Amino acid sequence: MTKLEIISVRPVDGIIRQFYKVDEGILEYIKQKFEDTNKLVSISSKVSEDYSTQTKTFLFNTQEDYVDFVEDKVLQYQNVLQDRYNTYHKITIVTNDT
Amino acid sequence: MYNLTLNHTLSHANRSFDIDTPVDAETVEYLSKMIDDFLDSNPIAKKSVIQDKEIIKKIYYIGHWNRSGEFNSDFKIPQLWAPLLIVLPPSLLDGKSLINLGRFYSKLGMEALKRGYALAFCNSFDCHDPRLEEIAEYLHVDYDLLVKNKTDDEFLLKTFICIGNKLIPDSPHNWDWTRADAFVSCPKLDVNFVKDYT
Repeated sequence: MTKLEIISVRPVDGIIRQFYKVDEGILEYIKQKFEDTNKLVSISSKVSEDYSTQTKTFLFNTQEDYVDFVEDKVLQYQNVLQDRYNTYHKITIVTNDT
Repeated sequence: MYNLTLNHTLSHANRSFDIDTPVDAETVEYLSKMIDDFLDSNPIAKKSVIQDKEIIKKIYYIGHWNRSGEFNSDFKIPQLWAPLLIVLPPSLLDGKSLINLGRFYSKLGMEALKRGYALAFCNSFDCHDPRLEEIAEYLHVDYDLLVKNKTDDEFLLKTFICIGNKLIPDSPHNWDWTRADAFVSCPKLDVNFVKDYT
């Protein structure tokens, strides 16, 4: 199993705000291409009590499945949109893979 | 006769359509023939008349243009979720051809309004999204060539006409079904906007 963890941190300003989220078309794409084929075993997401930190965890069956996921061109473009959103909203991001 | 009411309606995008009620076949055929007649004498564009909900869904998902990053990825252009989309991608890009095509778009729009349908135009389309490959044929785009040649500032000249019944009869034109609120005005005249552009 290979784990991908994406931690997003935004400034605490007392207001509940969104983190970046993909549209339903991307969720369908991930389901069809990675979940239904058992490449992606699970996705989980949790937000800290002060809404400043979001941790998303992806668990892949194999290292190859993980590489397929991170190198997928449709999903890579989501990274571009996410970077743009995070820059605008002053969100920093840390990615860990193990 | 010039109809001021229709002209006024034409200038405001209806944001919410009833996706499940198709435009009647006679209207689709009439609009399609209008396009054929126009393109026969003015071969300046290609033609796509789209009624397939699955294709419309794919177009809706990439109908998004958010260069600043202000909005989240699920912030979509609500009027693209319409039962009939027409797009006439220009094959000639000189000024005269584009003006002629623009005038013809207005004629199509006026015809749809006369027949009692609601209408919107839409230019917001993220041509950088790789999901465009799946609908390239409807946009008459060579996807591989587009990827090879495009620059970060480039956008496709693909104006959609969105036609259908209003989702909620008698609702304001700018009622946005995705947010259950009036559609965000653009540009937003907030303090930062004024600072940036004055």
